[in-house]
Amino acid sequence: MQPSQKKSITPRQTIFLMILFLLGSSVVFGVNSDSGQDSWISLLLGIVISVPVLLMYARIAQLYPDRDFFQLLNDLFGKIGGSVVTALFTWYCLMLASAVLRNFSEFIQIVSMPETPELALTISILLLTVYLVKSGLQVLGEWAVVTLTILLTIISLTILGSLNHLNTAYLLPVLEHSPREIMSSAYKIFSFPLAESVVFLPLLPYVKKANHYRIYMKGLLLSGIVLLLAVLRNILCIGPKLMQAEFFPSYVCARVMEVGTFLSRIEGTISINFVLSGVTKVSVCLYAGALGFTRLFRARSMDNTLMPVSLIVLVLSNVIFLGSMQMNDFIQIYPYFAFPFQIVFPLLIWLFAERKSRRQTRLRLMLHSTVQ
Amino acid sequence: METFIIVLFLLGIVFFDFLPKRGKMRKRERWLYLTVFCLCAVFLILFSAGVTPPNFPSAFWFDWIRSAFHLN
Repeated sequence: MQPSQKKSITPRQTIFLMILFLLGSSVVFGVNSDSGQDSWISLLLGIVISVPVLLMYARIAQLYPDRDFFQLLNDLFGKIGGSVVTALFTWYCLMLASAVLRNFSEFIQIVSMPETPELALTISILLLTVYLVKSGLQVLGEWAVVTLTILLTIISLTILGSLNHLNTAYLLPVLEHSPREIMSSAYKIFSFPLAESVVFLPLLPYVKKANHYRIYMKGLLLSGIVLLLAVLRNILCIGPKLMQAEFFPSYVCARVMEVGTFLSRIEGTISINFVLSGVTKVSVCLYAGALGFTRLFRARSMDNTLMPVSLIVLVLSNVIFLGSMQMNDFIQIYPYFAFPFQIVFPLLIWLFAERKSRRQTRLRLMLHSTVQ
Repeated sequence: METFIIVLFLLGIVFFDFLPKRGKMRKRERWLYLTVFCLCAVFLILFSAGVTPPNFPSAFWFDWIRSAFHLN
């Protein structure tokens, strides 16, 4: 299957897209802070746990680089099995898109627009993401390049701006939490956001001349560094107790920042971060979900299914949680809920794809030796 | 107000997305589009009119996860 120009994206743009995707809502929510001042250790452990899993995703993409992901599922599991896995994967993508969308509207409503109906906020963001997805992967890739530059500039500025507020005593005592607590927090960080990059699998066949291992590893490493800096900034600036108590620790951190006597209340920049990375995350999920929906119902083009799929996301974003308290509850349950989609299904796909690929290679070798 | 926004949004979809494309769609795609659209429209209008949406985190599988992993 030859991807069209509108549908192709360069490896560099894909890495940028992945970094933005992984930063996503974590850049405002922060990563899981159950382990308090040891969150940075949990984050590092989470990154280490992610490496083999992300390599597995890369291997799946590398085995059949030009094959459409959902068609590959049909090849591996047969028509019915493939449709079931496609439906489940599509469901996961759409659920993730709706969760991020709802995070968005909750954040905007809590911090700046308490009187505005949430639906109005959700619809405006959704229309923007639909426009991005409709414009094609190439535009999404270019958007990622521009956006990541802005996002990194803002994060660097907030880190520089908070330098005089940093208190290294907040990091102590190191390893106060038990290894079990730290590992549990690391798994939660692995699950949200690192392993969510499974959503990239349907997009990877459209990457030109790609080394998928490099895409996944570079994306993980660079986003890991940014997340580590953001977590350390939050711990050192507001302390572990406040970080655990707040829904949006990065926002609170930016609120207390002051540069001299002339620059303060720069929390608006954090909202910009969230808008930029959040829109990217919703767009990637929507793209993967719409592609899955198109293949599932054998529609001709994604253009014809994008709007209905975005309506499903809008409905789901209304039911996924009913308020910020439930949002917190959802984040606690999410790692267990996402386990099959992030580990079990990719593992099955990898094993089946590996077997099929080896069988094909053996057949090819046999044919070659017969001809000679 | 919310109902008005939703109705406007849905009309926008019909006029700016569905109608311009309906000629290019196959019958099957048209049916798929309209089915999903109508279902979602009903839900969205109900939610905007004040009907409480079903509580997703208290769905049975979430309760099962909570009890299985002792999350409460």
